[in-house]
Amino acid sequence: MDERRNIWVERWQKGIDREESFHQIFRQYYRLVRSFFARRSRSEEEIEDLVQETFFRVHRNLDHFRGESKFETWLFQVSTNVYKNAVRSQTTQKRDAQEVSWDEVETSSATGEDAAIPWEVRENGPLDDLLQDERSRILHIAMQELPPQMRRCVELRVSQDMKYREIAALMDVSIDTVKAHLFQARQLLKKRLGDYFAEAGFAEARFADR
Amino acid sequence: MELGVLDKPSFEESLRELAARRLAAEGHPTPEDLAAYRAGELATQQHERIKDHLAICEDCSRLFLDLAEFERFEPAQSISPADAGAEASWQRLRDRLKEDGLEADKLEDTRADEPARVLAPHPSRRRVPLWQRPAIPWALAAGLALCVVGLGLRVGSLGRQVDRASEPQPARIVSLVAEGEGTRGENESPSIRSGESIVVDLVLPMDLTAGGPYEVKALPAAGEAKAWTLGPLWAENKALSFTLPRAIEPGDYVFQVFGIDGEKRTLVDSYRFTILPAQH
Repeated sequence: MDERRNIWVERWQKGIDREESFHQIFRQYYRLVRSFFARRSRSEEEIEDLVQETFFRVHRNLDHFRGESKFETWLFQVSTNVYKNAVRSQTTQKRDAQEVSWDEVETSSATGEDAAIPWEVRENGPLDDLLQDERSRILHIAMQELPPQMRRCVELRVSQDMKYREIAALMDVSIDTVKAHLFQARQLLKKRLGDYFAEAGFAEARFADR
Repeated sequence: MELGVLDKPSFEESLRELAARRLAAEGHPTPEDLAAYRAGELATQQHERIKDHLAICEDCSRLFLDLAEFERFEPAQSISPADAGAEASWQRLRDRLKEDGLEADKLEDTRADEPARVLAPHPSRRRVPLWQRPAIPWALAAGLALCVVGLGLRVGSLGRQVDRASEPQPARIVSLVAEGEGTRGENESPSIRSGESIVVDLVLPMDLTAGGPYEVKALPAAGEAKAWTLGPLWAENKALSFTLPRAIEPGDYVFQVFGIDGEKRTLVDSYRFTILPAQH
């Protein structure tokens, strides 16, 4: 059986008992969608509103879902765009700023009319600006000289304060690989940047995963 | 000149600042980008770019982990027991979709065109949602249940009670005992034949202790068979009696039992059945 199939989506799209079919879709995915918003929202009211908006859009756009991806992938995209719109709405109430994304223009998407709305607002200047001071430039170069996977492990550990297992899950590698990368990176960075930064190669405490 | 330790900025703080400024400069991938990245559908350069971005962007790496959770998610093929929060949310959404009115055809009520042969309810019970009124004595429902007009074989009660629907758990498969035939499908998908009259032992949630009305939906577990709605039905001693329409197609079904209150339906429980062809 095609793993992408969802019988209730198919029944809805074929016009078979549409209300019941959509009810079943809602019941199947309610908890998943709710958890997604619960991780990002503070109030029960807000979570429920975002869930409602997501399924409302799913209902409106389900005719456009062509099954080229899994239904769950499409549902994720709809959920994310609903959240982005909520963030944007809150942001624009506070300030007026220019919005950018990697994809400057997206004219059509099956996920709804607001699918191309960028995630965040730009406030600072281009990357060049931050490299104007020598230390930042040296740090940037030293990081770029690390093997890519090793560099990403350091960034996830330091910038995002992630645990080993979280890094391993995100990078799809073993925890031992993460540990090995961090250990080697610390040696390299200490040697390279010790003259410029305190605890170059990041603090030893970071090797004691919580 | 070499800087003293006290004059040196923190490596970690500097790295975090570098990451924050990079993020502000480069923007974020769209959810479609993330999905394509996870599927390995991007060109190498863009793939690496997103990989780099995920390393420094907490929002996007969380999103990426959520995407993985969505794509790993396998919805239950059988219907889960009632979830009060989900059902309340569904009612709200359903009302909104109706009010929206933009796609009324999508909300058209496509119930069974052949009414089920069920008890004729007492008029007063049609007006009052007894299933919401715990004080109604069972005796009121008992007389009605004796009027079953089901044709053909009457099948014995389900061999096992089903737990309260308000406690989330996987849909239970219960056994079905047929008089004179022994047990059919015990601990598996119980089977019944179209045209049979069956009695379902329905264990009501603690706050739903009255006789009815209820509605039973027979939803095909696969394929394109027609879904059927049977009811209104009244319970007697927690048992619902109804006769399947002869036109119902054989196959695997999930029976959902709903309490009725006007337009509102509250799921009480669900059961899985296999329907065999009618015997001639």
